[in-house]
Amino acid sequence: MLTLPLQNVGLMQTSDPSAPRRSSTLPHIAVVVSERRSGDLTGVFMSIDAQVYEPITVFVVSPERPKANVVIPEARWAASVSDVVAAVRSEAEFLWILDPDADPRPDALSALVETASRADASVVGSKLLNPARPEELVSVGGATDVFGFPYSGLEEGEVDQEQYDVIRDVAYVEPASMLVRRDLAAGLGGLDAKLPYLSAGLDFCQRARLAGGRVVVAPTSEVKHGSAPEGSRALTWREQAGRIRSMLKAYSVLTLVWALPSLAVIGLVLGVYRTFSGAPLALVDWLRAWIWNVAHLPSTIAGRRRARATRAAGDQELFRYQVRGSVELRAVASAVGALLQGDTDDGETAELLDAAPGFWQQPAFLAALFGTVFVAAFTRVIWSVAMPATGFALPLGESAWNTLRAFAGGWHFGGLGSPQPMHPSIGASAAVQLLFGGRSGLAASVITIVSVVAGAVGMTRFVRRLGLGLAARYLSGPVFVAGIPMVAIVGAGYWPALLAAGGLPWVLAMIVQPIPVERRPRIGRLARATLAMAWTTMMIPVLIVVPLGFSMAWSLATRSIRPLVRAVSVTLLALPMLFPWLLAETPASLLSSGVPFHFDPAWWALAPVVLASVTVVLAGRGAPARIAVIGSLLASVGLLASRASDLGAGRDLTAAGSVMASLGMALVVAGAFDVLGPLDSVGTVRRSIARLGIAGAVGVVLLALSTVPSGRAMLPADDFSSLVFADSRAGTHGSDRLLLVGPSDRMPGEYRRLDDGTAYRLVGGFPTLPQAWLPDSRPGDDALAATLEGLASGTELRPGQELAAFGVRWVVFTGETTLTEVMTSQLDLRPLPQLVYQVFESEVESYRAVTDAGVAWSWVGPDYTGTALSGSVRIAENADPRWGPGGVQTDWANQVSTVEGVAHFVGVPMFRRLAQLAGLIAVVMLGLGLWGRPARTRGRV
Amino acid sequence: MRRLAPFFVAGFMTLAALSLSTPPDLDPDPGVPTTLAEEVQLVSRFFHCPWALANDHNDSSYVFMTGVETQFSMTYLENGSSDEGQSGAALRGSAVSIDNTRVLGASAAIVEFADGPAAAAVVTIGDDGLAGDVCSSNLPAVWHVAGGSTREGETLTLRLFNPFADDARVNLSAVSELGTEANDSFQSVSVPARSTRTFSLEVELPGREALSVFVEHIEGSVIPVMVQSTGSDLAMWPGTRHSQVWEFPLVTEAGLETELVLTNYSPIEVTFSIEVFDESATVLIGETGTISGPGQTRVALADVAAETYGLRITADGPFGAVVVGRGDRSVVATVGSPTVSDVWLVPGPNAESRAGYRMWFLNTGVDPVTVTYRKANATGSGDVATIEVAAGAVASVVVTDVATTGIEASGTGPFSAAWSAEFDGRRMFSGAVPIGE
Repeated sequence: MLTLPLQNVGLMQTSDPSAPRRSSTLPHIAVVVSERRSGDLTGVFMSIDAQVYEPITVFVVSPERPKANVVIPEARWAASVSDVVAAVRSEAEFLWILDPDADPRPDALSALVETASRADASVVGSKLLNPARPEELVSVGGATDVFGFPYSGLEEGEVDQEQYDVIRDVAYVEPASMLVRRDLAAGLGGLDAKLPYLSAGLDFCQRARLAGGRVVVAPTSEVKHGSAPEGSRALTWREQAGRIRSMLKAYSVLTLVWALPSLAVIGLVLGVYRTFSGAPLALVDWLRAWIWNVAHLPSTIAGRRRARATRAAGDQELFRYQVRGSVELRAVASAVGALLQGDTDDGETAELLDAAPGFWQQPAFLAALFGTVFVAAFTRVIWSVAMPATGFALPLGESAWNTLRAFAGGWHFGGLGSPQPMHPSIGASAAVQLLFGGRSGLAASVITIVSVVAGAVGMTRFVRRLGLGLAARYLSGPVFVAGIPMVAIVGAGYWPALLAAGGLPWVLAMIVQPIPVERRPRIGRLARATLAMAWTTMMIPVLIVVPLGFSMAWSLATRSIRPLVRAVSVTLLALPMLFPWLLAETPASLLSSGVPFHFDPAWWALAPVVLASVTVVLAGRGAPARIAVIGSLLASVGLLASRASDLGAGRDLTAAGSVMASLGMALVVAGAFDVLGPLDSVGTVRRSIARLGIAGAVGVVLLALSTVPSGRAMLPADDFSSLVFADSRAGTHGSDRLLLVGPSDRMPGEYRRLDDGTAYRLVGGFPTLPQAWLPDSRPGDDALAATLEGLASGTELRPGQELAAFGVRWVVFTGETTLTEVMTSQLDLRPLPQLVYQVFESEVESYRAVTDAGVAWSWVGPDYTGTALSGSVRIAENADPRWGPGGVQTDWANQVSTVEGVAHFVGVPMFRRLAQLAGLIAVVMLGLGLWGRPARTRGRV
Repeated sequence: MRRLAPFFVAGFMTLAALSLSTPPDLDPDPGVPTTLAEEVQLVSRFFHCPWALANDHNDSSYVFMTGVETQFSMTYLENGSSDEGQSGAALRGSAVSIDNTRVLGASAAIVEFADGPAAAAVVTIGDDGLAGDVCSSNLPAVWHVAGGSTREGETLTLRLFNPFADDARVNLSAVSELGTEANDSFQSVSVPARSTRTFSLEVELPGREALSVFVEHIEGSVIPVMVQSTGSDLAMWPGTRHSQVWEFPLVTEAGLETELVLTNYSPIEVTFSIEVFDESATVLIGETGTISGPGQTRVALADVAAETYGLRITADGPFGAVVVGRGDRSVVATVGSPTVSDVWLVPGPNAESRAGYRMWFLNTGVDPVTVTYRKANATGSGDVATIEVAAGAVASVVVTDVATTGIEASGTGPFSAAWSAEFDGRRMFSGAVPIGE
């Protein structure tokens, strides 16, 4: 690096025959104390006074003249560093810029001078130590990234053991103690007064280097200053703004063209990340930093011009002392990588934190990056538009609290209602929706995306716990979440299967992972696994047997009873979450109720996984082969269950089979990707066979990735969004019921059938998840069926009148049926044009609840509300004596007194208690899970 | 070896799983029938009355009959809107006559009964003529509206009544003595919901001796009716579905020249045979012939037999049939009955006290039938009488009685029924509604 002669920086000659010198050989020093805020300067003056190298004069730079100081009464005041330079002229060769909070050792200045002379440096910085603990390093100068974020390489609380005691060229030094050549200071105009502390030092050093100056750190010059690590100090909005201004002043246009937009995007991403990790104003700070720069753009441009005037080097000079990429992103990536690696991998995490520049080359970072891209693309329709409304993928209820009230022993929302308990997935999703302030759309989208992420990440963890390598871990995730069995079942619209996948691998990971010795993390892990288990089984109850089955196999394989004990514990703790729904089920209904799925893969889709399985088991060795065997077992059991419709299997069993099959395939793939590891000493043939397995595994991964383009996480396209007309055309009392008739694959959730097989179902307003499942038929449902049979005969020309008793205002045909023709020749259902489906609107008043006086009451699930009057209201719900107040049965419906202005179902006390118990257990488990989380993650919440 | 055993178990289970057959459809949906089955008028509760005329010169009455005690209501449907007409209770076996209060010319209405069996009819009388017929309740895919004429000085109006809540679209195809008539305005005719669309056929197709129209549904349903005006009389007759058998208890009366118009909508030629039954139970084999399709065949009935007789027309394919007749001052038309029944509701006789009425019964069976007919009124009671109808014979009886507005006829065997009216030289023919087996 060249040290340019003074005339190149446009400075005055150093020698002035008329100027007095303290020494003919030692340079004269003028001390400049930059008073950034009004405060006591006594301390710094005492330090200056104690210096063994005596400065010739002391200036205080501040906007206002300070009071006279008794320590150094002759201290002079200047408005800026430029004024100081002008004042000292050639009297002083160097300026010692000192922060008012600095406490330099008596030999600090002499060390600076000596270093400057020896290194021929233009800017020399001191080693900064913690005033409270002087053995701790605060700064020894350092590098930055291209965006100016400081990177010193120091660890928090690092002790000074002279490990940095060498004169080094650095990108910047902190301006707490900085020796600067006077002529350089004159050319550069001193520190930028608009910049905060760190940015001011960075800015000055950058301009100095661009002017041809050399910036070094003098480790023998020790100054006590500051306390917090520079990383955290650099996060304030002022420092962010300062770095942007420094970039604008220093960089060429060519560099700014890509660097500024990159910084904006990175800042936004980091702002979002920090917002959710303990800094709620991070995004605000990001915005403030940019707005500040816009507001100060004129002065920035002026400073840029001045810097250009003294510029003697290009941007390459700045790049020489910069780390690659973004220091901030690296720190975030290391945190994410720590999450991926697990909470007992301190060693690996430390490696990540210690990674050299180029952290994005680390597998965890790459995995996180690709995983983010995968999830973003896989779910892009969901987060950019909305969740599709199809099959069982339906919006959550309008009110999470009301859904939970109904779930806890209240009135079933499906069809014409029932006291029968709701499916547990309804309670689970409503509980999560409550956390989102009841926002149905946001909660459903987040649940879906988080389940995808959790499923993939959980699989990664699980495979890691099984002892397999990086490729096996990271590639098994997409295979599990998007494997062909999952495509089949989620593609049929069974949303709970996708959600169940989010929890299952975490449970299995816990089963294979040794329990921590300490009680707190042990309880925490058990609690978190219980929550994962509960979530999974509430989505697909039959999956409750999977961890038990797996743990038995794992216990046999490892010859340890502990995995089984862990599985039993988690299962028993999670089992209450299935109540009260489980009370209404029998083993037969659990296994055989509902229209089954049938996983029927094409041979070419199954071939890769079969190839991988066979080759890995035959040619593999050790853990990969073992895992492949377990995966094959799981996949085969799952395949059998998913195709057992002919044997009487119902929806839940076949759905669970698909999830299991996907899990098994993911394990086979994981084993295949790791198969070569233990085969170092085997023959070529065996290795070749193993490579075939890898090829098969790659095929499986590619099949999984082929699901990405749809962007709907394998869910079918939207079927029911067009039914939003029911809300827009609703009366002031709210939406009435829709009767949907059509092909069974275009029904929301479950459906019933007429004698001729025509599928139909009732929904109240827009179909929602709480309505997806239908309770067992009760008299009202039978009456509706009889009415529809009558309509289908074609002899009834007023179907609207007939359906009014059920609160049906709209009849929607999702396809051609025997009833479609009937509707073209009837008198009181008016067709609504320009809708996706053929929709008929009744011209007859069709209220779900209507008083004697013909006034409609509103459905505010699970109650009906209206004006409190004397009289009664007819509630078009299946008759039940627990409707009140004063409920009596009228035909198949209920007649309730209107005195209280509300009609409500008093509920089933036992169901309510069981649901409350389940909720309590969930809350306790959540609390224990947070309380018992690993030490490193505590404090971040 | 240790891991091969479970792997083989996995392989076995996989094979077992793959061997499980894929069901053709786990939860099959039913096929959708292409046409709705046509309902026989047995227990129908809805009747479409596409035409009634009430103005300064003409009066109309709606006549309802029920086989059970029930409620009825009328709704007038015009220009897309519906107006509630009269409603009330009807006793079992009663016949209720309600004057048409919409004195606005031609109007259309539907009549609904809470329960069946029931029947409805319209009778119009006035300066323009005497006309009427039963209101229909079924909705075939293709209507046959046959037997009109657009001779000079006459008007022929085709009314397409859509009482339903949805718009309808139909194709019209007309045949005459000139063959198939082409007319662009007959294609894809839309009939808005709750309204009637009319075609003045004397303008569209003038000078036709015999003009028949087929109305084919494309979307929705309409009920067609033809109204013929000769200047001295009116005739109104509804469209019919097709059938392979038609019975006409009433074919002609003194002073009328009648002809039978047979229509065939399909492209396949239909061969028909006409049996003639007179009062003496002599079965006379009438003409045989063919009806080319799509087209019509006219049979002059004066050539078949004289005086009183009934007809049964059978064919080897479905066809439509109408009897039309003209006298000095009258024009008549009636559609036949595609079925026989033990019990008939005959709304209309004596609804208009100024006219004279006659019932007609046809027994095409091999056994004689004793028909008991009860004159019905609003209270449900009325005189009862019987008439013997020999096997293979037609019989008629005068039923003029100011106290009645309908007839309930039941027999010891299946038969068909119709009625006629005469007022000031004008005549009308009308059918009846079978409610028995």
